[in-house]
This record gives sequence, C-alpha cells and structure tokens, in this order.
Amino acid sequence: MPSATVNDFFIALTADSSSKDNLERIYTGLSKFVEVFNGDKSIRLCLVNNIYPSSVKNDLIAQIVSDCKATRTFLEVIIEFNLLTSFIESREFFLKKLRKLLGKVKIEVVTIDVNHEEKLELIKSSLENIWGTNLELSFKEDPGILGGLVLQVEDKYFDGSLLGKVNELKKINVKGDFNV
Amino acid sequence: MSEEINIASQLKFASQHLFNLIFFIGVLYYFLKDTIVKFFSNRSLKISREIQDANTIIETSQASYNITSQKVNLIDSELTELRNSIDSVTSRKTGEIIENANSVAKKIKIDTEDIIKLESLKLQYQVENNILSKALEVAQDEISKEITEERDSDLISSFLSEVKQNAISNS
Repeated sequence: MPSATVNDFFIALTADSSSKDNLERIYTGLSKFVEVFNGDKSIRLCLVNNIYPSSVKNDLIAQIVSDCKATRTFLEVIIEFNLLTSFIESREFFLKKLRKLLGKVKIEVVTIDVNHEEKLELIKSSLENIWGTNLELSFKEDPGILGGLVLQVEDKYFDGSLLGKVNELKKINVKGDFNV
Repeated sequence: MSEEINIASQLKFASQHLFNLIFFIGVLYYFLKDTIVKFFSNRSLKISREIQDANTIIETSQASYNITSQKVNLIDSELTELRNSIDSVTSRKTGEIIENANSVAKKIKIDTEDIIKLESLKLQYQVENNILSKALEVAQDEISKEITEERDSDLISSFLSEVKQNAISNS
C-alpha cells in the first residue's frame, strides 16, 4: 500500500475547509507555524526529533496554532506520519498554493526607510492598484539599495533600486560600450 | 864463376821441388778429384735448393704482401666510406637539431607573444574594472548624499508605474 504524502494531507485539509474564512484561518495558522518553526531552534529540534513523544509535539503545536483546529490536526497528522521535514522543505509551495486558493498575493517590499508612513501608503496603494487589495505585504528596510525599491511578488523579482541601476552600469566598460 | 854455380844449383833445386809439387798435385788430383767434384756438386745442389726455397718464400711473402695490401686498401676505402658516412650523418643530425631548435624557439616565441597579449588584456580589464569599481563607489557615495525623500518618492512612483505597465502588458 503506497504511503500518504504531505500533498495528500494538504489536499484533504483544503478540500474539507471549503469556506474562504476557514482557508484564511488555515493559511494564518500555517504561516504562524512556519514563522515560529524558522525562528525558534529549540521548537524546531523538538518537532523533528523522534525522541520526543507525540504528546509533547502536539502540545507545542496547540500553543503555536491555537485558533485553527484543522491546521492543528493537519500538523499533528504529518508529524505522526514523519512527514514534517517534507512539509518544511516545501513550505513555500504549500503556502503559495493556499494564497492562490485565497486569491492572495504575497509581496515583500525593500526600501531605504520603513518609517515614512506617507511613502509606505503610496507604495501600498500603488501595489493594490496593480495586484488588487488582497495582498500580504511586508516591508523591509535596507539603506544599501540607496533609493527606490525592490519588489518580490511571489516568485517574481522587480528591482527599481538605485543600487540596481548602479550595478547595471557595471556591464559598461570604460570606453562606454556594453560588455556582452 | 861461383855465382854461376850458385844459380845452377838453385835452378836444380827449384826444378826438383817443382817436379815434386807437380807430382804431388797430380797425386792429389788423381785421388781427390771425385770427392771434390762430388762435394762441389752437392754444394751446388744445396745452394740451388736454398735459392729455390728462398724464391718460394719470397713468392709466398709477395702473395701475403699482396693480400695484406688489398686488405689494407679495402680497410682504407671502408674507413673513407665510414668517414664520409659519419660526416653525412653528423651533418644531417646537426641540421635536424638546428631545425628542431629553431622550431621550438619559434613556438616559444609565439607562445610568449600570446601570453604577453593575454596578460596585457587581463591587466587592461583589471585596470578597467578597478576604474569602474572606483567610479561606481564614488557614484554610490554621491547618490546616497544626494537622495532626498522627495526624490526617493519620485523614483518609487516612476518604478511602480513601470511595474504597472509591465503587469498590464503581461496580462
């Protein structure tokens, strides 16, 4: 009998949760779990290590994902089936799949200053104008880009920074010709 | 008178002795004739044989000399041939060595020229890259000094318009 994969459980999870609110809760729960898993080494070690009993792992999951039973069950099952590592390795794929189901677009914006509210609003409204209002926006500060902004829209990369323009100049040689 | 008597006695004495001598010679001739003839005949034969032997030795020696001379001539000619052959081989080998040396020298020269060209190009690119890097560093410094909130906002607006156009054309 072929063993179940993470994708099988994921399909079961999303098929059961037909309403958008449920999917939203699942997405939030999984995102939170991934964030905590990435950020906390002790939790990571506890969850992937087989010497800890399932009850301890389930308690941890219940603490991390407290407000979504379906997500909790999903995580408990994949831990039970020793599929957590597979899920973690493909986490971006599953989160992207959920975002697609929700019609949500994840955008990471890099600017030189994240404290200028007016500018952030301008960026947000422009991005909503392009990709709609259902956005998962995150802002990151990097003074190294000198000016402008860098966008990571799902798996697409847009570089509108001054550093990017300066780097383009590196393709030009001293005579002013482009290096092929 | 006494002198005459003396001469006559002397002649008598001489004739007596001469007769004795002739008689003695006749006796000797009679008894020793065959022996002496035989002795000299034997002697003559012996000398003839010795002369013949000597002639034979001379002929043998002459033949040996001729053979040896021929061999010496042959050796001389072989030596000459060998010298000529050695000269020819030496000359050919020397030519080959010189030719090889010239070919190797030419190759080394070409290789060295290529290496010099490549190294020159490499250095040129390094210098160009260094100049560009310095220029870009200066440009980055200048940009970071010159950038203001207003300019940054303009840049962002312009870039987002481009992204929008791009998104519209892609959709």
